[in-house]
Amino acid sequence: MKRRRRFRTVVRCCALVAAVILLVPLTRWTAGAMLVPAVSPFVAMATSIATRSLSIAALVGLPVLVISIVRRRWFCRWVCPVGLLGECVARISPVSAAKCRRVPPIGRGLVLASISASVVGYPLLLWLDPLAIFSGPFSLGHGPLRASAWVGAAALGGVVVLSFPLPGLWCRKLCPLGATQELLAMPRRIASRWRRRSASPSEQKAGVPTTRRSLLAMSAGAVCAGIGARFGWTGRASGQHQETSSLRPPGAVQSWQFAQLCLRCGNCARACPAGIIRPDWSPQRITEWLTPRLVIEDDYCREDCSACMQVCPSGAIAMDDCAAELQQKLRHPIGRAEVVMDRCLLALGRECRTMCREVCPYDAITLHEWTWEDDRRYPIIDATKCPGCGACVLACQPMDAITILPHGR
Amino acid sequence: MRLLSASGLTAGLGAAATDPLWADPAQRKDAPKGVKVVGTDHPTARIVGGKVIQPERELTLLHKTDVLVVGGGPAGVVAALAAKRAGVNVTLVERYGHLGGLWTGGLVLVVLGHIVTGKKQVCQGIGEEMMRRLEKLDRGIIDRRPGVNPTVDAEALKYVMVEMVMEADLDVFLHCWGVDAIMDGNKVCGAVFESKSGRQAILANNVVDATGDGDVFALAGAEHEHRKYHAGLVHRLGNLDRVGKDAGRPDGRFLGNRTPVPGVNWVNMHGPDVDALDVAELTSLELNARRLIWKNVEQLRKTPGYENVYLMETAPQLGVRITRVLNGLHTLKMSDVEAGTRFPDVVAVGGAWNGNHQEWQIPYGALVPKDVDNVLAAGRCVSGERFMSDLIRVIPNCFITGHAAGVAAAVAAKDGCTVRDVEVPKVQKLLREQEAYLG
Repeated sequence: MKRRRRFRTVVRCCALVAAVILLVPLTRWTAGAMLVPAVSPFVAMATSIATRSLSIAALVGLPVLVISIVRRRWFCRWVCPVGLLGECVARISPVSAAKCRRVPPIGRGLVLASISASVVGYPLLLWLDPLAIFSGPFSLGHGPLRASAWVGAAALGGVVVLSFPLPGLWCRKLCPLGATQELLAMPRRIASRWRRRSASPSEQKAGVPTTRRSLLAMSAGAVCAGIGARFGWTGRASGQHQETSSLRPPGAVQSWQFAQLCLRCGNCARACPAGIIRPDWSPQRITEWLTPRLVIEDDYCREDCSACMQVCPSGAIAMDDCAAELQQKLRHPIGRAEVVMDRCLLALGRECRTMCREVCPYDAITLHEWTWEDDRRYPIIDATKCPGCGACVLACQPMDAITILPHGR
Repeated sequence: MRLLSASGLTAGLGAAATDPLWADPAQRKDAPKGVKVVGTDHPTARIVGGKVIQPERELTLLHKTDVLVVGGGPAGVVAALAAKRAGVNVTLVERYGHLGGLWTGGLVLVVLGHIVTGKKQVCQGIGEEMMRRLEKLDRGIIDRRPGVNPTVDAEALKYVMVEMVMEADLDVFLHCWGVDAIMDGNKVCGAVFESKSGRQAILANNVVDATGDGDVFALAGAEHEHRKYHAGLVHRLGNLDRVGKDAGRPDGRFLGNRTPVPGVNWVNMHGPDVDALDVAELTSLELNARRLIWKNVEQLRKTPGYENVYLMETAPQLGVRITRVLNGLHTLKMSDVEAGTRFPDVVAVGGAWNGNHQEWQIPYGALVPKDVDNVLAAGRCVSGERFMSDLIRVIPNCFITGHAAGVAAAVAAKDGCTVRDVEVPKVQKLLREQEAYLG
């Protein structure tokens, strides 16, 4: 038994090291960062239901999901790096693990709420996934992302340190990933319990009704949350979007869904070679905090890159698996460029180098032809060709006559 | 200062026999050294076999000089002043009656592209000296702040250039149009001019082609590129200070940009793509542009509050942006601008239109033709790829290339070598002494 436990510790240490190697990333395979949050069956289930599709990322989580059905909390015991860190802290804690036994299984409620909310396309609380929390602090080496990395580090630290005063509270009672595994293993447990009950009827009152009751209550709450989220929040958002909506990475799902589908793992921001994906901190969008936002100030979304699409574990930034980078960008526009004629030097009749047209990687910008009859000249942006990469926005500095309107407006 | 009286020479053609004063302009006290009238009469063109034939003839030698600068725009005036300050005899020839070219006569009043990131001004030297002189004048220049493109007043600048040229005691010929290059083998040794005095020759050791159109190096047979580009006619509006506060908002392109004179704006015209070396296209452009300007001003006057605005003037010179461009020893490339390439033979440093990119170097080779010697290009016709047209054609980049060409021509004249073999470090040293910025 002891040898088996030691072997398990070795395996978990290896998993921790592997996760760090993938997230930093220490290998050339940068897209590998996706694997870490994607391996969570909680994320895989919720996102697949919410997007009504099975992405590559979801397939990564599938084996864990299947094993969890037959082996209760298999992932916690053999893989989870957050659990390992928590247990290390719990080991030095003077408090007994028995203290948290009587806490109700909140995690199950969170999972059920999220899963049922996913049915309406609006998964809640995905950001509570321990692997997403684990990924957050890895942005520390990336200058502009430092603030969000500290938030991630604080979250991970909080979860780990929580094990000191209350050992086991996170893992057993709160963690949605652990709760997902318990829920997955439940049919098998209930079945075996039924079998045992038919063998010895005295065991009948072994807590099944409480499980059922909580299950029902939680589901009802979750459906309410889902429906409320669907209609309440989007209704509010659509009224305000002009000022508050932000640019999302290419391939991002619709804005009403994005903030909830996003795990806040920071993979996309770290993967972006241009460094234009930044965490959102806007006070107007508290529900979207830490989600990726495009900031076109120093660089633009490169035409030869789909790194963010490749590393997203949740399908919030989705890609067509077979298309080339350039086509990816056109199929998943960030938005579309629009010329502010009041600021456009060309439209004002002044001298302009028309760099917007020169730099456009998609040849989406043409100039209105100057004639004696119509002596105006201004850029015309072909909406069918423009993916909103922002190259023209940079070229127009400091006039700022081009803005990118978010997709769908 | 010896502004040669061109009309006096004209009179000489008709009244040579009667008036001894006109008999030999070379005898006049105010004539520059070396002026010699060789012949005054010439056979006219004739129809021979249905073709118009110009008979061979000997040309009047108007002048002899060390450095001849053809074109009196920002490049030409700066080149002439620079060469003169380097200590050689200089003659400046201009086709219009004013100096400053498109900067004044074309009403291209904004000094665009002399700054780089960090609000640093890179286009310095004699052009900067002109702007400093303008600063001392009332209503001479506005927006002389770090990181901003200033705007000059055309008349003030014409005056400043005349003052500088006269102070430097340059030989100037106005109303003279360069029509031919004088060749000795593959060396340019002067140019032929057409004026009211007829066809005359000026001989020189070195020629700076600051015509903008590259007339001299093209006539000399240097390899060049001929580009079509948009051209327009600029105008100035008056009485804009008499617009009411509750006036409507007219189209911004009718209003243009403010100038140092209160209530006066200059209005740019993009214009159609033309071959500005084709006189038919130039004529059509000029005619249509005048009609369009009047139409636009009328439309502006229909805006409530703008009734008093009037068309003050149209530019004396058409706003031709790019025509011929030299194929020189070095071709300026956008990739070099972006990479910030540094050249050992740098003679000028260009800026960005809006100060939004780094400085870029112009090597001496961009001014030197491949195959013809003793002529240097200056101004918008220096050697550069098509993408560079917009960067090299702006005013400050014209005066810095003019500065470089003037100094190089003077050094070559002093050392008795061809402009191709000139010692670039010497040129650089002199340029720095004349307060040019070379990085």
